[in-house]
Amino acid sequence: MSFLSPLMLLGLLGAAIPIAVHLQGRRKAKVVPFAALEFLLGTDKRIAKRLVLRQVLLLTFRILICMVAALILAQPYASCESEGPKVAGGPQAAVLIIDDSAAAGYKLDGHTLLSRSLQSASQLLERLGPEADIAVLTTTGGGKEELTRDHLGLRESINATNVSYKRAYGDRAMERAFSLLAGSGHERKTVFLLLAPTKAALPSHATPPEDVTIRVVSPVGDEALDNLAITDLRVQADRSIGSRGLQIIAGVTNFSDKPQVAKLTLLIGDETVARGEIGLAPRESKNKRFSANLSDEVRTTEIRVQVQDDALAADNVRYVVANARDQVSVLLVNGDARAVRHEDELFYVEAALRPGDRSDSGTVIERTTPDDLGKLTLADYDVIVLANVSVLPAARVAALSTWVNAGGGLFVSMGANVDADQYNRSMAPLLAQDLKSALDLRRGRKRSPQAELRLSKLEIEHPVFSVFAKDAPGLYSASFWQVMLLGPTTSVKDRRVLARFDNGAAALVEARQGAGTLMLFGSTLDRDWNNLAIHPGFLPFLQQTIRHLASKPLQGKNQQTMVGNSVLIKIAADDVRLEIEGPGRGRMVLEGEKVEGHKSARLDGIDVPGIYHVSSVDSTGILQPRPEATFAANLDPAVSDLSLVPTEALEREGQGSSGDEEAPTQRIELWHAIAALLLFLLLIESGLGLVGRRSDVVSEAS
Amino acid sequence: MAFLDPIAISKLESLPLRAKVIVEGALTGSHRAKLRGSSVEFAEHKEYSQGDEIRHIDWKVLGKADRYYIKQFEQESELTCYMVLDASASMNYSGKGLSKREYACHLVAALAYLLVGQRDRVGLSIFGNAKDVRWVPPKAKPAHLRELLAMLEQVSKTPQEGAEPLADALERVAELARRRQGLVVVASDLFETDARALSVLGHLRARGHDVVVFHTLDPDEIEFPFDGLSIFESLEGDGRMLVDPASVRRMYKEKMRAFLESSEQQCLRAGIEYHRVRTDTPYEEVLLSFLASRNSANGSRLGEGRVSR
Repeated sequence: MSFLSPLMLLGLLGAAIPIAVHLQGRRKAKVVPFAALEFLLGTDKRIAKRLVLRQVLLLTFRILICMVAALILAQPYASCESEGPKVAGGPQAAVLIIDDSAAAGYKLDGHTLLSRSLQSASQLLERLGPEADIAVLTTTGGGKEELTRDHLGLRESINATNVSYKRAYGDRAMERAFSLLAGSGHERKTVFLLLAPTKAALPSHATPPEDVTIRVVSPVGDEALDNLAITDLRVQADRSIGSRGLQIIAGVTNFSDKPQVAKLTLLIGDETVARGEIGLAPRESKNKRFSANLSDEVRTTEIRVQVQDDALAADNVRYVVANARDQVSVLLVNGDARAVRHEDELFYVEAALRPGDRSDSGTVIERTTPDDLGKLTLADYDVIVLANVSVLPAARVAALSTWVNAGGGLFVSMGANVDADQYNRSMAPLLAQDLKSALDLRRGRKRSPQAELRLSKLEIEHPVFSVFAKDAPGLYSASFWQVMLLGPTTSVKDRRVLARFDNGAAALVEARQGAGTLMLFGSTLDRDWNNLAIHPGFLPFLQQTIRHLASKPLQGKNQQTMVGNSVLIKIAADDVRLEIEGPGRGRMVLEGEKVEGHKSARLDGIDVPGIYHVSSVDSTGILQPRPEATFAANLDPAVSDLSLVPTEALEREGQGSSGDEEAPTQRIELWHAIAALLLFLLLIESGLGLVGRRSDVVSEAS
Repeated sequence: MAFLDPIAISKLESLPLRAKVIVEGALTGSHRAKLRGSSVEFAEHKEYSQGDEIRHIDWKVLGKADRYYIKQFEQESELTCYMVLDASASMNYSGKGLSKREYACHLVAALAYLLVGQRDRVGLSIFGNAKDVRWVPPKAKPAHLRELLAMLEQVSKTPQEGAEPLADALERVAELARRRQGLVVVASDLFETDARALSVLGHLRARGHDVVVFHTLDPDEIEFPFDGLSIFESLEGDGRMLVDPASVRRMYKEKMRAFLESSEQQCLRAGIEYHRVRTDTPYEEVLLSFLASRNSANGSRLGEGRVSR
């Protein structure tokens, strides 16, 4: 034990004060010869003994109090070795690399890893001494990138270091450190890595020069750093729940060695839409799917999924922006138009897609004829229905094929105008499967159950049939007396038979073509070949089919980037300035040569996760929001993996190492404990005094 | 009547004189008829016959009746009184006036003077120091009174040592007085560590002795008027106590009161006459109280305890 103010130990002589007071008190007492002494003592001799003991205790405690007070004034302390690298002071060059990535925001016992590293850096600065040339770098690219003896500036640089959301680039920092040390004339050159040795933060490729010593100063022990993170967030259209339905898929990873339950919350805008839980085994990743139906007026949707708080808060939330599509636009090509409305080929189709002509059905229907098809811009439609259409010209077939490849959904139904051979020859790119021949079960027969087919073997899990019960009475009860038989095919990769007739013939075939979908229905959509149109299953069947075919990728879906990356923002012809407002440092502006004459502008400096809103100013000076350009920035998922890796391979002794490094010592102040002891003694002394006042006899003198 | 202040009395030179002053001061003007001092009482007349003493012829009857009658008197039996004086070290305590020992000596001397003057036999036992036991057998001669007073004067003037129990002294007296019942007068502070003394007193009373206790105490011992931190030294032992009197006064007085009440009650129960005597009380009050109680005793049954404070 040592003392900061040893002279104060003279105060120990103060212990003589209570002794002197005690003796003086006894000397002052007058002596009275007395006969009735027994009445003072009473009959219980133990009282006298107890009183003597109490008096002795009082004197002892008062002496101790005086001594302890003197000890406190002398400010005692003890020294012991503390954790940390061995360091030798003196002339040398050293680079401190501090991990300031998002992972450094991990809280351990109430302190972030960064604050621990900064404390270690300050201690290192002190121990390296004023003769050392030191540089301070951070793994995300900041710091004081020069070797200097301006320790005041270095200390300021250290204190100004904050957690960044950028990814740690340990190798880049190491290369910069080696570069700085290469320019130093000192023999001793050291790189101190002040970081938690995680896979993301630790340099793995940098090759150190021979004369450089590398030390790792970890702010954590050997214990695993538990973390639960949202590592992915995607959005896709989900027509099964509505024309503006979305499916939000959140990827959750348990970066710990024990099972955890992730409690997820989905927020659209600022409103909590859904909550859910998902159990995760150690080191397991799972997806959690949420469904949401957007209202009509919403176009750009800001979606956020967050998980319950844990030690690393930065990766508990993830953002995505989805631009919702408008209503499904359907083009109905009528191959058998009739003047009598209920005889028209599309009479039942229109009734099914727009029941009651309601505007909120989510479907915009447009009719045309095969001849007028060439006059329309196919890209304006999500789904095209070719109902009993004769063979189309090759150019239109090609246009339709291109449109399908780009993501369109084409539904082809049969009828009297369909010639199998001609279709196979001219319209093969639009067919999910080749046609064989039409089968008319009533030719030459009376109408009877044997002369009819029914649907069977529905792919009930497919979105088209997912709304039906397992027995689908509304579909199975329909009769088909004329169907188109399909030819054999060997293509099974992107082709799927969704329904069959009870004679085994394919009734509904789906095939993927490019980004789009083809569907072939082996009968008519009116009542010429069947009576499906008047069965209750027809409406949901057709609506589900159209929604499924309209499931093109969302416009600009998953508009997200990583923090630290650049983003390209499209520029309109008359835009002169772009303003981007994000969650971090306020408004960013792109203008001048960055904008003028370009189709897109690059935005750097995205350093905080969140949603970034874009506005543009055109030549008239009017600021217009650009919701379609809104984007989300998220953390690099690699930051979330805090598994510690061994550092032995990285640490090394350089040639210039003198070997006279000393372990750091830690000073432990003892006066706090002694002050507590003083309080304790004072309490006991007060208690004894109180007992003394209650008691009659003060003391028995020997 | 002027009070016989103990301090004033003590200034007189000799104890016999002091005893005389005390007794005369106490008796002047009170109970004269009862205390004429005659030891012979008239019983009856008897006709003269040869051999009778001529001096007993009642000449007045001869003048009236012309016949010789002899006055016959009852012979009065002598009272034997055993004075037991506590001269232990605890009796040395003196507050503002006389010590308890001096006061008790004066009181015993006055009683002895009175009793011998009545031709009663008075013996004296002085206890306290087991190595120096003093015993004067009971006699009724004036010369004997001088011997008693001389011994009391010597004890009065000299501080005593020792702490012989009162019970031992009483047992001695009981042994010596076993053949003749008498009056046992005890003057002591009764500061005993055991309760044997009062028990022996009870035995004396049971044997037919008339027992009177003068419980002699200094006012300081009753009221504990001390102030300031004090070391109290035991007069009979090695005990010393550093005491804040103010803080212990209440407890002390409670214990003292309990002790006094206990002593009194035990005496009462044993049929012992109990007189609590403070050393600042004039002697005449004590003597008058004693004598009054003795006179009333003639009308009370033997063995009834009496108390005066």
